[in-house]
Amino acid sequence: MKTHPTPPIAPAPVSHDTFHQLGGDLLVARELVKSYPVKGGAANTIFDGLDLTVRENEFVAILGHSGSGKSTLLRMIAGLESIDGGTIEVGGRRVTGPGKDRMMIFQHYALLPWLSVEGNIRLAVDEVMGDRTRSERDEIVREHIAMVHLEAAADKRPHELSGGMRQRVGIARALAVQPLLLLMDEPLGALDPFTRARLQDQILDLYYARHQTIVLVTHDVDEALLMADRIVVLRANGSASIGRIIEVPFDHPRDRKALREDGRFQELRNATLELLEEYFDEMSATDG
Amino acid sequence: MSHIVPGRRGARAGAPYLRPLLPLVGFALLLALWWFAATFLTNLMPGPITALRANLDYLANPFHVRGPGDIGVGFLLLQSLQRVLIGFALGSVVAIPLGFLIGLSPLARSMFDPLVQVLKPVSPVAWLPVALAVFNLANPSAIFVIFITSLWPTVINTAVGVAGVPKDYLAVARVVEMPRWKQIVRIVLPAALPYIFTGLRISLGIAWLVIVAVEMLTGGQGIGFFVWDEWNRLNLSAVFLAILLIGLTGLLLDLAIGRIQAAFTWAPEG
Repeated sequence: MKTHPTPPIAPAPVSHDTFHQLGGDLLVARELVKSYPVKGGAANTIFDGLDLTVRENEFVAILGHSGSGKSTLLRMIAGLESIDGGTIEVGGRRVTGPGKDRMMIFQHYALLPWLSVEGNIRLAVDEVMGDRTRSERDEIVREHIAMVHLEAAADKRPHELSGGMRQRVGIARALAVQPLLLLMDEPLGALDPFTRARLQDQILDLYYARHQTIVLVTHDVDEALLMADRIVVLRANGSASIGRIIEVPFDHPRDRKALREDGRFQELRNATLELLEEYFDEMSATDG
Repeated sequence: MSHIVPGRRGARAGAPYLRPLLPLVGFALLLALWWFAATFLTNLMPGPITALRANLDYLANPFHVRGPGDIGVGFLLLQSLQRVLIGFALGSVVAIPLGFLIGLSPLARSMFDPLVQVLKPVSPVAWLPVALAVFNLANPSAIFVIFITSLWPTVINTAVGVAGVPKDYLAVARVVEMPRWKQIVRIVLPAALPYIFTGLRISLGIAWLVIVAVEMLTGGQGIGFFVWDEWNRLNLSAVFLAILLIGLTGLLLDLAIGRIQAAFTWAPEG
């Protein structure tokens, strides 16, 4: 039962900035189906034939309210959730489970509390880069601690750090293993607005510096507009589908202050908010 | 109203330097109760002073050996302690892997959880006849009962800890393609360690309780039989001494395992 036909994915806009030239398709999801069994034998269908393509070096935000299935979609790409139908390919290889080509940044950081900052990053590096020498791995760990400016806290354990610092460890851990695709599951959702803004800027800087392909799940319209090239707005009405894909027309590198004064930004922001509200009312009506 | 509040505050401000004395007040109350019982309720029981005087020899020579029936309380305590530690170690060696199995595998959980639930409320002393029938010897039987004692709290706490490892921790391990056995060693074990230690600590505490009862039944050499033997000789002074020593030893055991726990586990949040 496909209540909403998935709109075709428009190609990402040709970018004018030299920072980021988009490459070929990196992530291709076709006809995705996901359902959960519920009591009484029926299944609760989350996705029923969802398509999504992300190009190399592209920053895609998946936007939706809670219950729209956005985290589920991300976890399916990560291989942490089973796929009940359709296929996901990353870099031409079919996703059948979690893999080091797709690193995840978790909303609640998922740092191991008994390991130091360094230990948390080292755990991932040692596991993924076991074929490198010890000193090469040391260097990678050191480099990534420096990348998120946590040199002074390298020996501290997560409970000694602020939320923002913890998520920087999460980012360093994910990037240290050089994934093809970086998946971020509401990474800044638990942070205060100022820390969030600072981390958004840092993530953008890393995005520019490393030509990293990123899929970000968020419910924050401003965050999506500030960071992403394209925004995939999920619509949950019965099952979830892509309601609309919004091309974000601003050149990188982006400046949050300049954007805030840009009339197009305000327009796009209002339109997106209205769309979300509409989808939310729709879902509330279906749920009764 | 206003004059009451400063008065209260003044009383509280005066309390801190008296605080360290409060435990002494507690012990003094107990001694008073003892003295009351010894003076008015029974003539089998010595008062505190009499008991202390009667125990001077035990206290002065804790490690004497004057024949098989007359051994210093220090030696007796060490023998009991040895049984407890052997039984506890054997029990833990079985309980921790079993707890892991139950925590990790729903199948194992269905198989063993009902068993644990039924056997857990049984006083471990009830296993003594079974052990005597098998081993035919007091000492291995006592150790066996301690082994059984040490199982349940450790099994249950380990299983809870293992099953409760945050899904995100495991997601991290899966994303970096860590093999399953390595996930168990590097993620599940450290995450569950605080629970495992809680189980071990409870197990050891109960084991020390149970050994006294077991030794009363099996006889031989140990602080438990000492208590029963001295009662049979109507020497309650020695019984009081034993109670004090058993308590202090139990306290030391708990402190020791607490130290080990602190050294091996990560500090909790906050």
